Order: sequence, then structure tokens, then C-alpha cells
Amino acid sequence: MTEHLPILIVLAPLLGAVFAALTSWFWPRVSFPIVLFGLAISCISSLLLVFEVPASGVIHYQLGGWGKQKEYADMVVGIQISVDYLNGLILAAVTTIALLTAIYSQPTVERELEGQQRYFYALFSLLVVGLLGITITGDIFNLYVFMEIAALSSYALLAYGKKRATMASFNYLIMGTMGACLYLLGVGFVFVKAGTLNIENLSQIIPDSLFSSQAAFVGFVLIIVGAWSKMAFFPMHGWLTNAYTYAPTASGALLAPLATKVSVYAMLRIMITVYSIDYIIQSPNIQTVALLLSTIAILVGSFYSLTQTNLRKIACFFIVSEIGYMVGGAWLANAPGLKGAIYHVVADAAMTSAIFMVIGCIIYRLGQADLKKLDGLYYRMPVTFIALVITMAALIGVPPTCGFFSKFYLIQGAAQAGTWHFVIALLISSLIKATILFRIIEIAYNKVPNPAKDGNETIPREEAPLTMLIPTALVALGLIALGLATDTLVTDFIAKALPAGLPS
Amino acid sequence: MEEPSSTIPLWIVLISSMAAVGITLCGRIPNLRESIIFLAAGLKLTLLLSITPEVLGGETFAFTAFELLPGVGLSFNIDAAGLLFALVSVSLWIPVTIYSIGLLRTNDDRAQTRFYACFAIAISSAVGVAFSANLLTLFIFYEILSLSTYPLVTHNQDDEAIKGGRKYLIYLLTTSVGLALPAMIIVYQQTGTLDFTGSGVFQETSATMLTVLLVMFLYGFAKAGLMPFHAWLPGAMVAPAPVSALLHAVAVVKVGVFSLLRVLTGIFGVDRLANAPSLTTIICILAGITLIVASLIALTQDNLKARLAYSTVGQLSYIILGVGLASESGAAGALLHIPMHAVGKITLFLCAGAIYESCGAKYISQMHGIGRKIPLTMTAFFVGSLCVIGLPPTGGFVSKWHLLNGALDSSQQWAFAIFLVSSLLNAAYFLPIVYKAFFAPPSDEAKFAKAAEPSMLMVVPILITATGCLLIFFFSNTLYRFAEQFVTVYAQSN
Repeated sequence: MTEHLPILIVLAPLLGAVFAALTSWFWPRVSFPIVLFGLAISCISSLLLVFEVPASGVIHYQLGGWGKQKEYADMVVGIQISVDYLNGLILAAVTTIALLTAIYSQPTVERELEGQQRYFYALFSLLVVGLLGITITGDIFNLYVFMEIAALSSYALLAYGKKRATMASFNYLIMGTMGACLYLLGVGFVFVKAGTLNIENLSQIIPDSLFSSQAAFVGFVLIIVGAWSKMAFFPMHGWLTNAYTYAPTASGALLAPLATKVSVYAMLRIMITVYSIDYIIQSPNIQTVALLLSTIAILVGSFYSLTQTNLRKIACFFIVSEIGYMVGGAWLANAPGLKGAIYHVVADAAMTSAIFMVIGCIIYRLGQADLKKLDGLYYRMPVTFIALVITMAALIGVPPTCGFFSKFYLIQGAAQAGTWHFVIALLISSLIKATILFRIIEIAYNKVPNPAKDGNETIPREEAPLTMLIPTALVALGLIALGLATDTLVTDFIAKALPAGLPS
Repeated sequence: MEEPSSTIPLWIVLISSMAAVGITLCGRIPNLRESIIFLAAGLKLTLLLSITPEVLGGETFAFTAFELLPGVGLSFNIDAAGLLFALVSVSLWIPVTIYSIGLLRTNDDRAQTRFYACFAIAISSAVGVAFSANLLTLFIFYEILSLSTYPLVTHNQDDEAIKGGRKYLIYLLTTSVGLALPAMIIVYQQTGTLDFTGSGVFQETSATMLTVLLVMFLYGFAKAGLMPFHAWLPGAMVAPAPVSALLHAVAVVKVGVFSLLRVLTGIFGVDRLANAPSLTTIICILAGITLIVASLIALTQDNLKARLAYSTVGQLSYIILGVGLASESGAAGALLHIPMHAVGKITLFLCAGAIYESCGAKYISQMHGIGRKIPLTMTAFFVGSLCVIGLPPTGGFVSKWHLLNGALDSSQQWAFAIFLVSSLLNAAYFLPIVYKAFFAPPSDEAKFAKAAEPSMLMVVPILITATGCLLIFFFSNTLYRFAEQFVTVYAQSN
């Protein structure tokens, strides 16, 4: 049984999506439990698998019994999925957050999408399939296919929202399609030169014979730019804020933490495994450009977040700046920088998930999440408020939350590479987030609402329903737990995911 | 020397955090809630005292909870300096709690549970800083302290409090995130370790880099109040009197100077400091300027709490300057000045609160003649100011004695003059208050007609700390044994 765990991770939510779509015709009540069950199986499988990685190294799984073929010089033929130190962690993070978000989403879906929720959970599950597929696949064309599965379901999920959601989703569709096209074009270049699409094969062929090939370089640039527009990296970030702000709470809570982070993973995979870090070091021009863009992304995201009052928009601009952290860390191309980037993929998935869940709880009770209308939030929703403070602390990088440690590694890497503009951008971003946190505290905590005005003796406590509150609290506490587990994560997984011979 | 691991440090740090949980749970039963505080403080003090003989004998208690980064754990190590600082913070927690009960219950203040809980966490983090075995652990507790004291500073939750709280956090967070954190990461990147060792961690770092790091650390730990990052201290005076007393005379500001003491002796190393006059000159000049300028500003303040705040800014620089002298007696004086100034300043702050409670006077110009109405409080104020000025028979005399000795032993003999001038300025801004309180005609006869000593719950703690100022003079030899143990690193490195 355990040898089939890798495929189960993707298959369980896929079957969940299919059955949820079918049952929604005659027994709509049951589609949510089906999806939940599929996600739970996927989550358990990925957690079991991630602990097997240290024991058995890379785990390969051949679909249809293909694999290494003697007649093709021991090349891998057919579809392969593989789990190693790099994507094992990310799989675990994606499945856990997807499961918690599913549990969390139900009350908001019932309220916000009343009467049109038929295919919602089927799409929800399908999106998770796409994200998991991108993460687990061992083949760069397959990665494109899953990228499209995820993208198509996310256009639909985002367009469920009200008012400007349709337009925002349409913008995203255009940017997303362009990104996917660039990526596919790049894959074409690589396939023409290398004759294979399998990541394991490519990781041998490209360093051996294609380092000086112009076509392989064009392919590399196209793939990277394609991934950048998928992850909303500056200057291709314009679609993200509106798309996630106007989406239904449940869609936002699922997409915001996972979709961009999985694209970052795709970029890391291409950089680390397919082309190798030596390739990056040999092309210093593109490295300089990527680092400069990361600095600008961090600053733009942070400064725009200061100008907003809608909490969801603020959180969206945070994503823009956090993407800058990860891209920058990866392009530093040294051990601490890459450790920071990989660690931050997991950490930021959790942080973004937490902040969107918190905002969802606030919207559920107050009907809006405008910074200026949060007076007395602490007195009405104390648990939610504390979760918000923990999350913001993690985003700022207050120890011992996980955000502190990713920043630690990123700054260490940048100091080592002498990229001081990146260090300064990281620090400015922290301080801006601190400013926003204290703006929130001053309004939500220090402005005590006057209960006598409403005729009540005390301020009523009205937290969101427990099915929303418990996942929110779990993710917020998870931010501290992740921080405390840094040493294990870095020594046992992330350090081993890095290629040997990096500038340490 | 490697000592067997012992969980005592962890428990000592955690007791007051656990008390915070208890305080929150018993929020509806005030008597039980406050008994928990005394129980925790008593337990903590007992544990600290129980390990004192061993620590004075040269033993250390080390404990690593878990690894945070490769090679750097959440680690504790109790040595003489840390123990002394912890003893001061915990023993002063008790009188301040009595005082708080008196103040808050009399005024029927709201959010008392939050107040006591945050207070307990702040004590935990101060002790955590005292026991930290490496810079990362210290930084973590330093930040927890900033955050847990914010609700205390903004306790009144009016506009003035929010403004003061904003200033407080902006100064402390900007400097710690913007300067101390990158400095720490650069140290880790250059050396691969953050542990405090007497010989320092740097091997091949260039002199320019060391100078940059030194300045980043000096300003990064803004709780130490080095100018120009001192303005949060007067700003945070909007807090209730007990908060100002414990946090801004003892825990918060002393955590700042203690962090600097650790960085200077443990990261840079006493050896390097002694042999690098360019580094010590920077420390001494920055601290010297702060010392004189803060005392001059204090002279001009009419608001009593603001005057006390600027006096604190100056006194903190005594400690920084003492460490910067890089001589044995300078370091001993710096360490001794932590308890001496703490007891003196806490007395003054508690008196300021009591004066406001009994006479409604905030400004020094309103305090003429109040000595005859509240003689006990004003006598305590007199003793406290003697201690801060450094006159016998109070503890401040002892630490200043060692600091002056240290200045003569070192290469920075001009510091001797700075210490003397500043002591004169201290006398100039404290003694007139006492003189006018007792001998000048009352400034507002009608207003003070009904003025009387505040409730016993407030007067007794003031008398306890004032007696403390005198006691530490007579028992200064005991305290000196801590300093003696601490300065052995200087002897070893020479």
C-alpha cells in the first residue's frame, strides 16, 4: 500500500472532485463531505510520505509501469511523479492547508454563495489537484498541464464573487494565460534541444551538454518569466490584488496562500534541479535583474499596503512583497538564500493562510473588513484578534514565529552575496508591516466601543462559528510551531534539498 | 567549562509566565489573582536565592531547550551577572505589586487582569534576557519584552497613552529590527556562532566591520536609551506609576543596558575591547555625551516624571560608559550600578505616583511645601535621590566609587571628569525638589489642605524600597561578590 502513496495524494482529491460534481445533481448535501474525505486522505498520505523521504531518499512512482527503459539508454519514459526533500515539505504544507481551509470554508460558502454553490466544492477539490500535481510531478510538460488545471479552476472560483470579481478574474485569466503560454513555449525550446521532458533526465542532460546553448537559454528565460507572471512577481503583479480581494472568502483563503507559493516552487525546481544553480551563477545579468526586481517587488508591495484600508487588499499587497522575498532568496544562489527561499515557501503559505482565515472570520461577523471600522474588535472577537496579532507578528518577523527565521536566512544570504539593497528592502518591509499591525491594534484594541450607546451592559462576544475559528487558531499557532521547528526543517529537509557544492 | 545541564534556568524563567496564565484564569477573583502573583514572585525569588551560593562559587547553570538554528539553540546560562540582574528584577516585583494593588484598587481601574498578566510576562522576559546564553535567545526575549509592555504603556487607553505607546514601539522596534537584527545576522554569517564567551567570537573580522557592528548594536538596543534614540523614555511616561517604576527604571531600560553588557563582553570580548582603544573610545564618547546632555535636559523639566525619565537616560549611560572603560573596576561598577540605580529610581518613581495620588501634583513647581503634608513619601524621595546622586549612606555611592576607580584604571581618564560633573548635575536637579517640598511655603494652600499620605498599600512599598537604598550600602560587600565573580573573565583574558 505505501508504495502507492505518491499517486494517492493527487488521486484522492481528483476522485473527490469527480464524485462531488456527480452527486451535486441529485444529492447536493453530500458533495462537501466527499471533498473533505478526499482532502483528508491526501493530507494523511502526504504526511506519511514526507517522513519516508529521509529514509529512502527520492521516491519515484511510475504511472502505467513505465520508467527507465534499457532500449532508450536508461532514460525515464512515460509519466513519472517523484517526491524528494524539496517538494515533500511543500506537499505536506499544501495538503494540510487545503484540508483546514475546506473545514473552514463551509459556513462562508453557505452564506456567500447561497443557491449557486453546486460546483463550488468540485472546483475547490480540482484546484487542489492542480496545485498538488504541479508540486509532485517529475515532468516539465506535466507541470504545464497541472498548471492549467489549477488556473482554470481558480478563474471559476474567483469569479464566484460579487461585483468586480468577474472583471478581476478576467484580468487574471489574461495574465495567467500569457504566463502559461510563455512557460509552454520555453518547454518547447527545452524539448527540442534535450529530447526529453523528464526532470530527472534533464538534470543530467542540461549541465552535461546544454550550458552554452542559446536555445536552452531562451527556454530558461521563457519558463522563468512564465512562472513569474503566474506568481504575480513584479511587474506582473497587477492581477493579484483585485482577483483575491473580490473573490468569495473561501476561494481567497484557498488560493492566496497556495497558488502563488506553488508557482514559486515550480521556479525553484527549474532553477535548482533542471538547470542547476551553476547555470544561474554563470548568467550574472539575469541574476542581477531578478534581484533588483525582487527588491522593487518587496518595496512596492509594502508601500502599497500602507495606502489601503481594506484588510484583504492589504493582505494581497503583502503577498506581492512576500513573493519578492522568495524570488530574491532563490536568485541569491547561495546556501542561506536558498534555504530562506524554500523555508519561506512553507512559512508564507501558513502566514497567508492564517491572515486570510482571520479576515474571513471578521467578514463573517462584521460584514466587512475595513481597517477603520474595526473598533473594539478585541472585545467582540478576542480569539480572532489574537490570531491576527500572531499572524502579523509572523509577517513582521518577530521571533519565535516562522517569519523571523526565513528573514534570518534571507538576510544572511544577502549579506553573504553583498546584495545590500535586498537587505534594506527586507527591513523596510518588516517595519511597514509593523506600522500596519500597530494601526490595527490602536483601532481594534485601544478604541473601546461604548456599550451603553447600544443599550447593552457589556460588549457582546461574537466569534465566528467554531468550524471557522478552530482552523484559524490552529494555523495561527502553527506559525509559532513552525518557527520552533526551524532547526529540524532546515537540517533534515531543506539543507538536503540543496545541490552540493553551493557557495555556503 | 562545561557544566551538567540543569532545567533550573528554564523553570525560573517560566514561573512568571505560568503565573500570567493563572492570573488570566482567576481574573474574576481579585484576591486569588493577586495571591498568585505573590506566590510566583516568592517561588522565583527562592529558586534564585537557592542557586546563589553555587553561582558565587563560580558554577554556572546551563540549559538548552532546543535548537533554533544550526549551532544556535534557545539556551540559558546563569552566571553572576545574569543572576544579579534577575534577583533585582524579581525582588522589586514584590513591592511594586503591593503598590499596584493599592493604586489600581483605589482608583477601581479597569483591565487590572491584563495589567498583572502583562507585568508577569514582562518579568519573565527580563529574566530570560538575564539568563540568555546566546544573542539569538537574548533577542527573542528582548522582543517579547517590547511587545508585552506595550499594553502596560497604553494602559489608560486615552489619546495621550496611545501616542506614547506608538512612540515607544516605533523607537524600540525600528532600532531592534533595523539595526540589532542585521548586526546579529552579520555576526552569525561571519563567525557561525552567537554564543557569549569571554574571549569574543570574532576571529578574522576587519576593524571597519567591527566598528560598524559596534555602532549598530549600541543604537540597536534602544532600550538602553543612548541618544538620539532615547525619546521613547519620556514618551512612555504616560503609563501608570508602577509601570514606569518597574519597567522604565528596572526591567526595560536595564534589559537594554544588560544586552549591551552581554554584547560588549560576550560577543566582542573583553580582550578585544581592552586592546582596541578605537572601539572603546566610540562607546565612551557616545555614552559620555548622553550622560551630560540628558542631565542638562533633566534640569529643565518641570514635569516630575519627565525629569525622572531624563535622569534615567543619563544613569543608563553610566553603565554603558563603565563597560566601555574595559577595565575590571569599570565593569564591576557598571554591573553594581544596575541594582543600585534600580532601587533608587524605583523609589523615586513610586513617590512620584504617590505625590500625584495624594496631592494631584504632576509638576515640580506645584510641589512646594508638600513635604509637611506627606512626610513619609518625601523622606523616601530624599533617600532615593541620594541613591541616584551617589551619596553615602546609600547604594549609589558604592557603584559610583567603582566607576570612578574604573575611569582612572583605564585609558579614558577624561571619563572621571564626566562622572563627577554628571553627579553634580544629578544633585542639582534632585535636591531642590526635596528642599522646596520641606522648606518653601506651600504653592497652593487650598489645594493641599486635605492632602495626606496615600493608602498604606502605597506607602509601605515606598518605605521598603527606600530602606533598600540604605541596606544595599551596608551590605554592598555581598553584592560586590557578584561583580567580583563577573570580572573574573577580565582576569582570565589578561
